[in-house]
Amino acid sequence: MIRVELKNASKIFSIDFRRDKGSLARLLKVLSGKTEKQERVAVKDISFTARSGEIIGLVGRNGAGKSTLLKLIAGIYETSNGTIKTDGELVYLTSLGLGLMPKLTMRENIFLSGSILGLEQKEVRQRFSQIVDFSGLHDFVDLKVYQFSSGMVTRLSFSTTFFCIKHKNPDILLIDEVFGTVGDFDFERKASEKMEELIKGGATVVLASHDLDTIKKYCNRVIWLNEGEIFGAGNPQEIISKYLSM
Amino acid sequence: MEQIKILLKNIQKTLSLSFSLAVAQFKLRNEGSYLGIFWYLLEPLSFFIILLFLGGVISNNSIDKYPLYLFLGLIMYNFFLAVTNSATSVMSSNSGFIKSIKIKPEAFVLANAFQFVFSHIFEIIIFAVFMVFYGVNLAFLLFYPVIFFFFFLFILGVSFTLATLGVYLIDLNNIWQVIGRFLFFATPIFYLIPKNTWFFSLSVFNPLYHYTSISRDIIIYDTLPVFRGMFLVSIISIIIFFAGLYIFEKNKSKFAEKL
Repeated sequence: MIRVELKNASKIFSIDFRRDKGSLARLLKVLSGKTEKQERVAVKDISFTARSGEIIGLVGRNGAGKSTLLKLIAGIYETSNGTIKTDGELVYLTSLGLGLMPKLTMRENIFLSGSILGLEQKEVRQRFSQIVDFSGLHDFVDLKVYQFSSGMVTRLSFSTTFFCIKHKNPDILLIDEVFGTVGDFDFERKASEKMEELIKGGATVVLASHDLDTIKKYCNRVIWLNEGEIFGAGNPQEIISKYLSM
Repeated sequence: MEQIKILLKNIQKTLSLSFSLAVAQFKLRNEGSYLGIFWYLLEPLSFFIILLFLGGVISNNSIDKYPLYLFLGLIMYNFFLAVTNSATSVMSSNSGFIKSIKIKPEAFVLANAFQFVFSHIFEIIIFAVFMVFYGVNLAFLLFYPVIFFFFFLFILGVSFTLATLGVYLIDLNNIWQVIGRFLFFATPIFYLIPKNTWFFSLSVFNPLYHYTSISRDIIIYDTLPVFRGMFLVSIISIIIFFAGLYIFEKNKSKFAEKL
């Protein structure tokens, strides 16, 4: 079953004026007829399909268009040309701990993050004990998050994000650079096991990462982006060795 | 049928998210403050006292139950201004979410409005105390939720429009503050518009005038709701709400890249 289908998808950002200019400056500019218009092609003519259960890796240097492509698939950005179709529940995961409010308690934060990730309060309640257990922060549930160490914050945000996404059981999972150190050795091991569980859980996964070992480990297919275009696609080993030799 | 079910489910989800966000924002506003929610009451109360003093001493007005007339007008206007003012920047202050997560941006506009409902409830309680003090029948206050519902729809419509404009105009907040000040004087909050004057005919076009005068007539002066007036107000509210929502829906797909 095809879950994601892109046909000649392009994204052009128009940088017509700087955002920090006031209305008056903009108005004068429009009236004077001197509107500078610059365009930046972030993603150009991308076509591919992804079936259920497929894990696709996206590689490329900074600014190659990986994040823009994922945001286009997620529907956060609109395509300038071409079409993108997705079929099924989609989750776009870019950073852990988004929307964490330091002045609220851990309990309040779990409920808030759950809502932001699209769960209803009763669904968060069902997952609450799992989140707390996994984070190992039982004793701090009613403590405000600003009193947490950075490791504790990471534990909290990973656990919340993971269990909320698992609850949603997405058909399409888009992951944008969410690997890397997530706390101490012990937690890191636990976290990467959970991440593996999520990736191999049967959803269509599109994974953008600079961590090529992760890409090699999980992906069936790799797409190499360069300046917004597909530069190569296919077998992970092959594409990655070409990418490294560039 | 299936589509209506999905639509309702979506509305329920958006409302539930908005409510959670509003509660969090409300808690954060009071966090670490010594007087907490009393700050909300202190501001309108002090302004009320100033205006009451000016109205009573200087203009020597003849408005019946003037303190109630003034306070009700003031808290309704304050609610309108607080919600719309913060709606002008609600998208940019939540740009982190809008740019990096698939989320319904309507929830931020709704949450912004909901958080001020909480403080408005406290103001209404104070108003009820005043009513008892001035010997006005409290029963008519029961009509307020109905008027407030339409007033709220109107404010949401304005908020959706402002939130959309705020994405493109960075200094909308300053412009809106000037308009807000103008509206404060253009709306009969601390004065009464003499009938059969040009100003009276002009006020018919000011929606705030209708909401405040209907509320006062019913709650303070114990007149039963007039069908024509209520009908007019509900029509204005529904039109403004859907117009605002339409503008927002038409533009929301561009927010992530414009912010």
